[in-house]
Formats: sequence, C-alpha cells, structure tokens
Amino acid sequence: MATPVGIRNKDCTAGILFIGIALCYLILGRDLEVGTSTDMGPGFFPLIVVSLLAILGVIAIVNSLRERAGGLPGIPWRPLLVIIGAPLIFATLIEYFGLALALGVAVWFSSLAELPWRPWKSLLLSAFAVFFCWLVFALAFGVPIPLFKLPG
Amino acid sequence: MELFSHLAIGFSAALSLTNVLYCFAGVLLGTLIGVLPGIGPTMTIALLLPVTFSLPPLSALIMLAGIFYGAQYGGSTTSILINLPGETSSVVTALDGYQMARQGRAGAALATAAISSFIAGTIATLIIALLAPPLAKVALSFGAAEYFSLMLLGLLVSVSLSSGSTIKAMAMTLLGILIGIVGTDVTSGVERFTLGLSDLYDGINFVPVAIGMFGLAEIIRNIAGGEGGSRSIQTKNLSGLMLSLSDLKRIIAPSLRGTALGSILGILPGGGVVLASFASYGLEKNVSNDPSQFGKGAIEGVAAPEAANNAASQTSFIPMLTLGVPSNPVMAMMMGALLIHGIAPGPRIMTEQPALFWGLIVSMWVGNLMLVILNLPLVGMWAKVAQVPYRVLFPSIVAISCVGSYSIGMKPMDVFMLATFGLLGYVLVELECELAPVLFGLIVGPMIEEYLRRAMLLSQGDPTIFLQRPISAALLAIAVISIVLSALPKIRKRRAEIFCD
Repeated sequence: MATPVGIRNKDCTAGILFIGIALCYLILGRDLEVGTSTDMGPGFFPLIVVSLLAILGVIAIVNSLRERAGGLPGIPWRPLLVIIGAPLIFATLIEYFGLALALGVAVWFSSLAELPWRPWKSLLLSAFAVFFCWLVFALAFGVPIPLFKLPG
Repeated sequence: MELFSHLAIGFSAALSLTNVLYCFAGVLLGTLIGVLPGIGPTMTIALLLPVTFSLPPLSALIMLAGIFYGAQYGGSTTSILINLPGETSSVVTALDGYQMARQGRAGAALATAAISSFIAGTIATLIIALLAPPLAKVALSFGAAEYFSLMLLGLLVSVSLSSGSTIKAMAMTLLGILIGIVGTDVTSGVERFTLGLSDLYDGINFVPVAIGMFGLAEIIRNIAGGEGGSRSIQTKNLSGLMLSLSDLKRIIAPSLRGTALGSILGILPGGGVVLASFASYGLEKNVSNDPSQFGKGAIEGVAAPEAANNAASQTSFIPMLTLGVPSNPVMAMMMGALLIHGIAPGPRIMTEQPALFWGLIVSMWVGNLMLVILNLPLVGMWAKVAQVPYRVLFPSIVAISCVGSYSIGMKPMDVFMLATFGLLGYVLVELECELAPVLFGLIVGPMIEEYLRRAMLLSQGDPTIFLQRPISAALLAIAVISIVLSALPKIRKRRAEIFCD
C-alpha cells in the first residue's frame, strides 16, 4: 500500500525540503526591498530567516551523509489523499451550497480513509456530524453558516 | 496584603454565573475530548478555539484554560485505565497508573491523579498570584531590545528542550516564522508572499495551521499506523475512589515535590509540561525508599508527575500573561486567542485589565476544583467514551476541523490552509521534525520582527545594542547556552533518555 519516497534518508529529505522552502520564499520575495539595518525594509527580516533556513538545510544534508541511507517511511496514499481531500471538498462546496451538503459530502468522503468502507454507516455518521456542528457553531455560537443553500 | 485584593478582584470576576458555567463547560469538554484516543490537549485546544471567538475575552480564556487542564486530566484517565496516554505528558502516569489499575486499584490511581493535581493547582495559583506582579514590574522596564532577546530566548529554549534533532527543530521555528510573515507588513504596508491572493493579505491564521498540523496530520498517522485495535480496559474496580488514609499520607510529599519541580519548569519559556512530568518521576524514583516499586504500581509514581504537569501547565501562563512571551504551543494559542480578541498580553495587562488577569488566575483554581469534584464520579462515563471506535472519531474530527476553520472568517481560504498544513504537518512528522516549534515561530515571528525593527531604529542600525543592554545580553547568553547544551552529544543522550524512559 505504501510507496517509499524521499531521498537517501529522513534528514537528507528534510534538508532538501528546507532548502526548497527557502528558495520558494526567496523567489516570491525577490521584489521586496531589503533596506538597511537602521531602516529595515519589508525584505530585511525575511531575508535573514530564509538564509538561516537554507544554511540549516545544508547542515542537515551534510549531517545525513554521515548516516546510513534508507529508513524512509512509505506514503499511505489512501488516508493521506482522503483526509487532505475532505477539507478541500468542503472549501469548494461551502460557498455555493449550505453546511448540510458541503460538510456532509466532505465527512462522508473522509470516512473512506479507513478500510473496510461502510458507506451507509458513514452516511449516518456524517449526518450526525453535520447536525452536531450546526448545533454548536451555527445555533449555539451564532456563526452565520446556512444549513441549506443553493447556488445563485 | 495586595495579594488578597488581587484575588478578590479575581474571585468576583471568575465567580459570575456565566464564567462559572464556561469554566465548567471547558473542563467538561476538555476531559471529554482529552479522553478520546489520539487527541491530546494541544489538538483539543486547537479544535475548540474557534468556538470561543464569539465569547467575551475573559470567558473565552476561562473556557480555554478549563479545556486545557480538562484535557490533561482526560489524558491521565486513559493512561491509567487503558495504558494509552492521551498525550505525551500522561505517558509517565501510565507507567505506574496502569499497573495500579491492573491490581484492581484503578479508583485509587484516578483519585490520586485528581487530588495531587488539585494540590498542585492550588499552590501554583498562589505562586502565580505572588510572582506575577513583581515580574510585570520588571517587564515594564523592558524596551524593544529586551523583548527581542526574550522572544529569541523563548524560541531557542523551546528548540533546545524538544526531543530530536536540534537542527531540524530550529528549522521548524524558522518555518513557523516564515508562515507568520505572510501577509501585509504592518510597517511598510507591502504585501509579502501573498501570491496575489487577497484572502492572504491579512496573513495566515494560526488556527487552521494548528488544527491541520496537530489534528489532520495525526489522523493520517493513526490510520496509517493501524489505529482502531481493541484495547483492554481496566474498569474492574472503579469503586475505590476514596483514598485510604495511608494512601493520602503517601502522596503528600510526592505531590509537593512534583508541584515545586513543575512550577519551576513551567515558567521556563520553551520548557514544560512534558519535561516536568518526566523529571518529577525521575526525582521521585531517586528519592524513594523503595525504587523497585516504581513501574509496578507505586502510588508516588502517579502523584508526583500528575502534580508536576498540572503545576507546570498553570505556571506556564505566567510568561505569556506578564511578558507576552508564550512558553509552549498551548500558551502560544492562548496568546493568539487573546490577540484575536484585541488584547495584547504583557506587563500592562495587570493594570489595564485587572479583572481579566486575576479572573483568569482564580478561575484556574476553580477549574481544578471542578475537576476533582465533578470528574471523579464521572469516571465510568469517561471510560466508556474512551472506547469510541476510531472510525467514528476521525470523521467527526474532520468535521469540526472544517467548520471550525471556516467559522473564523467565513473564508474558504482558511479551510484550504487547513488542508495544506495538514499535508505539510504529516510530511514533517514523518521526517521526524517537531511540530511545536512551528506553531511557536508562527505566533512569535511577526512580533520578533517588530521588536528587531524598533530596536534597530533606536540603536540606529547598531546590532550590538542587544549586548549593550544588560538584561538583553543576559537573556541572549542563556539562550545560547541552552542551545549549545542541547546540541552536545552527552546532553543529547540524556534528553533521549528522559524522553524514552
């Protein structure tokens, strides 16, 4: 079920991740003015942080070269995609449809994460979840989420 | 003495009917969710935070605080009854607590946990009431440089106390800061890293990040790890909830020792509840007349860590409230909650909002009282709740996560962030990176930038200002020492020992 992924070992992968994130921020923030230390621009602090992160990434990779390779966990695709997918479904649906549909579908979908899948029991559970959330968030705490709504 | 007038203000604020109800609700909810497998106090608070946003600030804090130690008590309950600690700080309780349960003394173990926690809570409340005012006075003389150094200290100490690789923990802190930077820069009005999305102009809210990383990621791990097997529950002898006199005598000293240790460790920025419980177990074992009993059902082995972790949880409020520096992720979230309510914690809070400050402190004691009185009789119910099958549990968590995140600002973007950070959280945990520093960096990051900026402005660009001012220099020195110590191989082994014991 799981697919091993990553490079060499955990620390190495982590180091590469750090450098990757640092680079992303570097690219995204390339237009930010750095300024001087007296008059710090919006880019000053991010530059410091990003540089430190990149350095740590390099250190992590260097450290990892001393250790044995291997020991990477596999990716549990099913739970991962389902649990991350559920909020995405909710986010897509909620503005067009009400809580009942958006949350109901999302929660029902999330029950797919664990096998064996029991569609009818999960449907019942999501109905309960919708009702409970509506009770607590909309009714008790006054959050203005409509239970039912149609697009348009 | 001033103490009494302070406590009086506190009592009148905390004992209003609504606040008592919120305290009760918090404690109940906290225990309920803390008892559920796979959900610890950090996650519980993250999940329930959005619920408190619509409440007035004091009530919100009272409820959150109640949730916090309610969740810890719930975690202890599952430790004792099922040997499944709900949270890291309850791991130690399971060592002797579960053994006691197996010997038919579950009731005594639970009662011990509750009573020693209450003793600790009472003493800790007094400590807070005594320490906070002088600390705040000192803090009033803090300038931008001191605040910067203090926050840096907090970040670095939290790194040095986290288990695992120091390098990775530091990187996680930086990552948290980077997440916190996203949004409109307060000083210059420039948008940073927002990818042009207007929903990100105000930055990334920490709540979906917290719920995603501590909640969703945990669900993925639990399912992938084959959660859901049956556990044997020791509910045989729950009737013995009153402790015998000899038991009571035995737990007093350990509770006091645990309280002392926990109070000190809780105040340490970055320090904490987990360390407190482990350290006090170790201390108790060393001090005991009969160390061989530990691990086999020694009542001291339950009393001391429970007292320690409760004391630490309460004193960990001190740096957050008086100085505005959170000492652990839970405090970071509380502080975030305060900020959302428009209250900036710090030394001024005591003079500007005395009812808020003292009301919160008093309600912590009230909450502890409620835990003892109400939760013990309800233990049977908690035991049943703990047996909820995971396949019912996790979709419910997903539901609350989605609605909770959405309810903050009615923005689908927040739910999208929930998913994103759920994914990121999972990846990071699998790569053996600590998540707590991320949350820390996220909340403290923007503040630290602000203080850096101001300090630099004052010193006209001279970075040595942090070393020139004595308090700042001292704080930085402590920070550096703690990092160096944590990176040294000998200390690393001991840390691993403490965490693996």
